[in-house]
Amino acid sequence: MDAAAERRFRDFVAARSPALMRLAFLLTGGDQHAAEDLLQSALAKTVARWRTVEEPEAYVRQVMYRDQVSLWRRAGSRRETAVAQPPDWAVQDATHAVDARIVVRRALARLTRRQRAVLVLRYFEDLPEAEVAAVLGCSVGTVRSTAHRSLARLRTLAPELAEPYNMIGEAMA
Amino acid sequence: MTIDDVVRETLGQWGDEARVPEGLADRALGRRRRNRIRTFAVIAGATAAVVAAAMTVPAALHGGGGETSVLLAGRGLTADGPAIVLPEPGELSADPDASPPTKLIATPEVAMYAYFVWDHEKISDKRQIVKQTWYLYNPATATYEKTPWAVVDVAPGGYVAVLEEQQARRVGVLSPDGQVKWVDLERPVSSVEWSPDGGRLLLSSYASNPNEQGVIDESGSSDVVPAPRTGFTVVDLADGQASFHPLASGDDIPWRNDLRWSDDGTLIWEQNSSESLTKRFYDLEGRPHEAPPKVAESHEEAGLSPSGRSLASDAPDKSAVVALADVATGSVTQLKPVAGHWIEQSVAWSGDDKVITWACELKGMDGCQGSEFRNRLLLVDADGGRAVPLTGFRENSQQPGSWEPLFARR
Repeated sequence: MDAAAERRFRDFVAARSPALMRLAFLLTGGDQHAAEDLLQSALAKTVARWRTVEEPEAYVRQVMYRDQVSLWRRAGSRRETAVAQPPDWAVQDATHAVDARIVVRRALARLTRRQRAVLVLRYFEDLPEAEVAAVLGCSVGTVRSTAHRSLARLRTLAPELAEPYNMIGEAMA
Repeated sequence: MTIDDVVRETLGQWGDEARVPEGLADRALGRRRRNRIRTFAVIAGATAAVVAAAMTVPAALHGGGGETSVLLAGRGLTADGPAIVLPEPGELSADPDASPPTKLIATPEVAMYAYFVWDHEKISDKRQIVKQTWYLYNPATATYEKTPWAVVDVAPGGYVAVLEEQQARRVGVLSPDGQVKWVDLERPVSSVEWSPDGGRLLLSSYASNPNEQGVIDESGSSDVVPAPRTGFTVVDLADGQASFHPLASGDDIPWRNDLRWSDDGTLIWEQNSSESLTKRFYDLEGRPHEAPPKVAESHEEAGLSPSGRSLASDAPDKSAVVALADVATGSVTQLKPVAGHWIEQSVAWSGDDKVITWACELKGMDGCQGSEFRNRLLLVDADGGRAVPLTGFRENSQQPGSWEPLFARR
């Protein structure tokens, strides 16, 4: 990488690292340390190909997603546990709203990487199923079934999510 | 609110809790860091005005003369003496409050003979040129003075080679009296580097201007401006012979990758960005060649110390960035924070016992005051125990208007 390219890379990182770090944070289930490692690894791969990468942000995002998926593939089903230790349950006298958020976060953190990646792509990135499939390198059917299973598992992990539901934690009549 | 909505809202709020760590770019670049100084040193950047000025061949250092002689290949080219003769005896000379410095930056072993200030010149909505303004030390006035040259390199002892434009048809060597001796070239060249013994010049050629780059837009994207390397020319100053050899970049990527001399001047190398070794070596005909021991294992610019005793390398853990490895024993000295500075990058050895580094002002245990791009040249003992500031702080090394040094042995 020459000096001019390095400057462009640094400018890119300075401008886009908040958004990329948010994504890494969610992909790793709220684990700041794992998120930093994931993003740093993706940026290092991007540096290696910087001269030919035309859409750096899209490239970094794709590398992070695929790294997560490949980790899942390599690790096998026995290792499909979340990398993060979610925070403890909120104390009983905390507000319902805070309880609800913690419940959902805890449940998201306990999904497999692939399940979480699909939900992040669908609900955080707001990508249609076809684009999720393209990013993860799988079929639309796989995306659909994974999303379905992910939501089902969320409900299992957090029974409070049984609909109807509202975010202040109160079941709707 | 459906479960879809809950997941969407939770992800949105949760993501906001992510903290952006400092130094992401540095860490990503860390394993692929290359010689920023040398890289800058070979980025040509002449404006039309600079070219016009160069054509009149002003005295290189206001030393008089001003006439030029053009020596064709085969007719010999020998500098009458170094263009820059530093005062004796060699002592430590610093300018710790100035950035860029105005007084000589030097140790008894090495000197910052030159520096340049870089900037962008926009040539269209989507394209710009990286442009440099070079300053050379003038012993007569005891300060650095602006020159018209697009590219400069300094050999040990103060011999100066110049290009007058970013794709130059000839390379010049400055004489003490300000004259320039030129060698005409078969192909336009965009970089120049003296061989370690000062007897030859290595020049890299590209199919188009390698200083041209895309302008980064708000999305962080920019045009890719390919400039494939076509080959290199070696000029032998003893007989003025200049020979071109085709050599595309081994990375197969159409971007700048200047060729440089090995420490002993028998091979040339380019940055290797795709494999475990940091450098890819060739012989002087452009044929691939095995890397010399150790040097391709480090990204650090300072490389091997003068005797080959120590290698500046990446630190093994996060307590430092730069480490100095004893080549014989393998023992490693990490350059941890010293004298209120966090050491970021090695620049050049000063003998075997000291190394010149870029360092920021330490904040906390391992952070930088302001940012990691606010840094100064710092002379550090090889045992990491003592440090002396050489210059003031650059406000932001990544912003146009910043400067980069060029060191050579005295």
